[in-house]
Amino acid sequence: MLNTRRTRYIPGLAALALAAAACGGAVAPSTELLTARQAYDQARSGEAARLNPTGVHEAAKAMQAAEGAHKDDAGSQREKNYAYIALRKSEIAIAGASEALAKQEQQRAGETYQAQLEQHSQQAEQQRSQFAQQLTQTQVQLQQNSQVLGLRQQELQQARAEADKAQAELRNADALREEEGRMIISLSGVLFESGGATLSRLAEQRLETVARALAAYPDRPIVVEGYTDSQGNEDKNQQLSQRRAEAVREYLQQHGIDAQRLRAVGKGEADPVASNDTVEGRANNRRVEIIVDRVNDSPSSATSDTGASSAGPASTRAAGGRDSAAAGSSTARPAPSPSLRRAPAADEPAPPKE
Amino acid sequence: MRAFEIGIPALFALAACGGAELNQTRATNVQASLIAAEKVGANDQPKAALHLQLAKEQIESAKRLAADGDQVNSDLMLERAKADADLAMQLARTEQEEQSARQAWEKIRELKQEQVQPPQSGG
Repeated sequence: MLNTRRTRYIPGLAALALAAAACGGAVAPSTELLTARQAYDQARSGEAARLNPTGVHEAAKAMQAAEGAHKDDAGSQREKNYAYIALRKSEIAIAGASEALAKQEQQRAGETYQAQLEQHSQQAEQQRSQFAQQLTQTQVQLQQNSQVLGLRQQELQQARAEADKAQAELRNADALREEEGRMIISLSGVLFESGGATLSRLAEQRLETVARALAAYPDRPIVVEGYTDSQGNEDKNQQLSQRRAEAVREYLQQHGIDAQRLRAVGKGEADPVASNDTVEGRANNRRVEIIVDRVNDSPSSATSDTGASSAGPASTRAAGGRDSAAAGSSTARPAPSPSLRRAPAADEPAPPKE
Repeated sequence: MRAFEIGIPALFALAACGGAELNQTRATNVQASLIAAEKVGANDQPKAALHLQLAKEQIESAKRLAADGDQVNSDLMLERAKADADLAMQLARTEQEEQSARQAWEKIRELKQEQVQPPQSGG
């Protein structure tokens, strides 16, 4: 307290001494004293008074001594020495204030840094939390997808197993063969009512197996070809074979085969697989062939064609058609499947005349 | 032991070899101030180093005055030397603190830059 009071008075005393010196009309102060006064004024009126009062107090004491020396012996070496010391004390006071200011700056910077770090840390935590949330969502999604995929695979396996089973059934019945990468399912026997295109019950049963077998080839085009024997009018046979092929196409379409993949072709009496001279041969010639093409053998734009103009596998066969069938017992195919030559069963009604 | 710890006592020891001796109390005070100034790195800071040099020259002057039998002015010269040594120490300390403050703000600037542009993970 006492110290503070003294600090307050001493600059005043020094100022009084300066005034007295100015009024006295005595010898002018030395350059050293003038410089010291200037430095002291700067110290007591600047930041130093607030930040370094002790330093300013020391400067004031030194200034008082310098003024005293000037008063006692103006211009003397003693005055100059004391003025020099007062100058240094003032400079020390100012530099001390700068040090205090720098320390305050450091503290402020430290606080700012901490705040910045906290903000940084909060942002990082927020970001981490967001990432964790996203990760959880992704994991859940992944798990769901995995479950769906599992189910699909299971379904697919079931469908394949079902198709394999159906194909095996067809193979066992000698109704399935492969030619140049195409799978050909040949159905003969009593498939339609006599002279009509309505599927018999037997035909539906067999086509149900065919539909299951076709499920294994979801991306391959399918051509349904209808054939008749050579009995009756050729034009009528042609139309009948077309209607029958379309009936089969429709059945398959209703049983899950995409309509875009299906094409019906009426072949009439063409491409007999057996002699039309015998009852047994004609029964085999009255048939429907379902051809599963290779993937790149896509059908032409129409889903229903008529006539033998179709680019089906039958067109690639060797000499076929009515002429050859009518010519005698020779068959169009070099190695027909045994089932194709199968005679109607004893309990089957006699093949209708077509 | 650093050079100044040997050099400064030697500066005063020589004084004892002359005719009249320096005021022992004042000389000790000046010596303490010089050592303190050098310890805080006054020699490494140009302005502080200048005042350190002035202090040393004034010690030499004090010695000469003492040798001439002018004890009053020798004492005053020692007082001047102490004032310069104290100023050298204060300037060195101020410089150190100001440098620390600058470094602290630089750290903040770098941190802000990191926040704006997060460092890329390696790999």
